[in-house]
Amino acid sequence: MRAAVLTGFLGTGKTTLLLAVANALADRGEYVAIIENERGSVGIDGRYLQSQGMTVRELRAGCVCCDLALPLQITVQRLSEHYEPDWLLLEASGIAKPELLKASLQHPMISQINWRFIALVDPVRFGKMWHDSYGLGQLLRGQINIADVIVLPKSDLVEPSVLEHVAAEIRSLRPDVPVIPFTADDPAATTLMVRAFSEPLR
Amino acid sequence: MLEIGAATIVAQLAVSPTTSIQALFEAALQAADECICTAAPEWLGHCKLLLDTGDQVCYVSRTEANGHNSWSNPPKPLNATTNAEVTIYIAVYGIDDRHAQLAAQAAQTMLTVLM
Repeated sequence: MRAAVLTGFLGTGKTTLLLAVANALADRGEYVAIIENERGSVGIDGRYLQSQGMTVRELRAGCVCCDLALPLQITVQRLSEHYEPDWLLLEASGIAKPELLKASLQHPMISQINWRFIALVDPVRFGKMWHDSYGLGQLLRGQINIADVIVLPKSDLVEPSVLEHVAAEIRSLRPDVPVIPFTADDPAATTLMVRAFSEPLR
Repeated sequence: MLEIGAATIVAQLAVSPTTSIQALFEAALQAADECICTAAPEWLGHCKLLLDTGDQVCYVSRTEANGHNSWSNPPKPLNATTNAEVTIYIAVYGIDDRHAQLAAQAAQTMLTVLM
């Protein structure tokens, strides 16, 4: 089983990317299971994904990096053992602390699973986050620090010069990881994302 | 410490075929945005509004102050008056309890516009 976790701020496009990749995998005949983590007591993203035909388990009203860490580990174990999906995709909440999340996913109960960390960085709101002094900048850098792949969603909504600036700032922190623009309506971008979820890109 | 102030409301809404769901939902989002801006003029987060008629599920969201509306599955026209379920979700980044109260106020404002 392959596994990937999507990190990123609220409204960055995690659900959109997840749905695009899950649909592409399903089209190849692969069985995808999704775990959705939302802070609210009522889920919207999970419900939307289910309406699109996806198998979804929701973990709500908390965060999988801390208060829902154990439910996450149990859910991962049960999904992998009982459903045997080809893929397990986890969408973290927009407040998940990256190092805690990584530690949670390395728990002995599920340590046989090799997760790829996909960090989504919103180029539209990047300036507000990167230079923020009350925590957003720190969280963003944490997401970048643990990532295997960094995705710039909504890349059609910003000028190419802005995209280049954002990529340059990220590379100053992590020159060793690929930084990939993504737009949901571009099939080639989705194909590249499926590769990025599967294997190291260089 | 960075936190998310969040609020959720689920409500039933009778939608007539003459109602422009898109315009109504965008007006509700705008009202929520303006409500949050009164206390957090440069807010970041996610305001979401989901419609489920049984036949279609669509949602629209906004992610920052004075931001643009992003639709997933824009609504299709209705043939008859339909009882739909709407889910309002407001989440705002902040560092104190004030943002949870703000999210609750914005969710209530959104509901008022919808009703």
